[in-house]
Amino acid sequence: MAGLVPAMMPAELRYARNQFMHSMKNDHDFASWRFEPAIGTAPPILAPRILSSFALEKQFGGSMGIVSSVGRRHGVDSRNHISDQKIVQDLLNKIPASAGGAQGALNARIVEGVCSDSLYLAILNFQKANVPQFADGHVAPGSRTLDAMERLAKVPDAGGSAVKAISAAEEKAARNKATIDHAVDQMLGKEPGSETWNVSGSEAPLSGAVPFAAGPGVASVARIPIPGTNGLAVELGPRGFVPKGGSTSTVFIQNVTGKKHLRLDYGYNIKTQTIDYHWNQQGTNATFGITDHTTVGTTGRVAYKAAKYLKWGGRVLLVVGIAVDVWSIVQSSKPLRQTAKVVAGWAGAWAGCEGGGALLGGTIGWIEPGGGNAVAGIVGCIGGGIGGYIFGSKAGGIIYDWAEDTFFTPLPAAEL
Amino acid sequence: MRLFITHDAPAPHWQLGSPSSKRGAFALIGWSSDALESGVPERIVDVLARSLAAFGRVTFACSTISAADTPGWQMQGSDFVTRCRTHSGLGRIAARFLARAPVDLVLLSTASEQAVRGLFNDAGYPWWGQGQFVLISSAGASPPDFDSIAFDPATLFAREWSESFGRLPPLGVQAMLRPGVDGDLAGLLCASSEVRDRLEAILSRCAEESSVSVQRVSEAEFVDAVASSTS
Repeated sequence: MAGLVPAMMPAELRYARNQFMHSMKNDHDFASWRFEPAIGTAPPILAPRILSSFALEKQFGGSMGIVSSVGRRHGVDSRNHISDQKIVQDLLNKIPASAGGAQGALNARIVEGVCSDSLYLAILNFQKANVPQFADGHVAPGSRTLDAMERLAKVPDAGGSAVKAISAAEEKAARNKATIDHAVDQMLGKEPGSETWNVSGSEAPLSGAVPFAAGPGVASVARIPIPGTNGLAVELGPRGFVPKGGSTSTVFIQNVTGKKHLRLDYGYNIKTQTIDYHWNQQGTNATFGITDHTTVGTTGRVAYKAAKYLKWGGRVLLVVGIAVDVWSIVQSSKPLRQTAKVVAGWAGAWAGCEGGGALLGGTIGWIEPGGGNAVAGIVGCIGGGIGGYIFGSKAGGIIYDWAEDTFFTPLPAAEL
Repeated sequence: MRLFITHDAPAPHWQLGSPSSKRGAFALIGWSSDALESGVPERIVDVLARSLAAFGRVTFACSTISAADTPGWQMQGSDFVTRCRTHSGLGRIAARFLARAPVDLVLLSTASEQAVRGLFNDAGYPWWGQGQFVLISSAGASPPDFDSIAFDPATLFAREWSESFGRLPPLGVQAMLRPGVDGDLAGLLCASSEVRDRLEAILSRCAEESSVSVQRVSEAEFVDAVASSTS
């Protein structure tokens, strides 16, 4: 099994390994390591890490691995066994401050199960400097954070240039893997900055499409207010009971009860005595100046059909968008952060939709009352919804990060 | 302001189904108005409400009253109210959440003209959206049998409402009124031509009291007559 490892190594790793074997050819430990079953069965990808760990163990005279997590995750203490905290603290102390380490500054008393603020901040600081995509203040066994700490701890060179070469190759491989992982995480919307979409190609990030689902989705169910009309708003469905078969109207400008309305209808027009696209109204003639059964031209016909497709297509997009966002939360390495982004995104989409719709609809409505209000209101709502989602989502992430990195100290009680 | 009545079978574009003479005696009622605002004109509402109340008991969907969620009619003053469940399970939750329309169907059975006026302007059961029906019983009759109505109330709102009308006369319902296309006219289906004649006589009398003329026309004349309305 061990023979499989060199065959699958990149050239630089093979070179490093050869150098390492050459320098260690008389080392009994190395001989025994070579035939250790655990190594032989390890997948090829683990080979560089195992070599490096082995070298480190040699220098420290014992295991460098931690058995459980150290630090805090989502504000909650990890296991934080004393022995593990000690290892992490030692590693950080060995790393110079310029490389994100503590450079000997960590000397707080270690308490079983509790990660001190200084250790937590040191971990977080190290992660931000070296593995920013995993910056959560928490070190797990076998994690990339621990790997990076071990690499940078600058232990004395056990195998001379071989270990250095292995370390360099390992570092490069880890960087490559981290790049790929980061890209994958971005695709799944799990990492900070995922909305910037640095990846390209056919596998476009699914969650990047959510704003474009949120805009039309919200517009299909929202009530877009029209300023200056005393409570009238654009909607794509009627108010009140609708008999089986549905309504023949698709665009409604109505008050909250639906008693006052202007609606774009298709059906028999008692005025023209034909089936056509026309306005029906009740109680809104004074507002829009449109009488009942006024026929509409091509624009009205297009608006009628567009509203019909938006009503149902938008609802499908709404459901899909919510489902994608829920999935992004489930898959996220930081579910709380992703939840904050998603909730803020949808709230932003709703606010943006109503605000954008009111603004554009109200403006165009001055030029073309009724139809202008409706069409521009819906277009503004879609645009506002898309922008609102993007803004809300970014704001949610920023606020979450700020809250996560901020320690609140209770103020002493004031004496009365 | 004028009322037009035709006994011809309604054309499909009136959206009143196809009531055959086997089901009863049909009348199409339309009106002309010079008001700019649409909806059933106030004077027509007056005439229709007074006529229906004068005939007897009027039962219709009403969203402005409440009724206990128990089967059967409950007395409320001199009127009767009842609640029929039209959704079940998740449908009720969704309807309550969306709050766009009444969750349950609440029926009011009354002989009060004032109460009857409300059926033409009920936001929950819009006349203009053909979301309304009116069951007309004789004076002094009890409200229609609850179980028969609650069994499938949706059929009373359906386009082919005349088919479900067949089961109503045995329950004491003498006639049924439904809004036509855009609520600009109404279809009246009566258990017999005698009932229709009686109702039309009352309608003519009430119209005269309100200075509204009533004209009996053919359907072709009816089409032109309602088209002449300003609103």
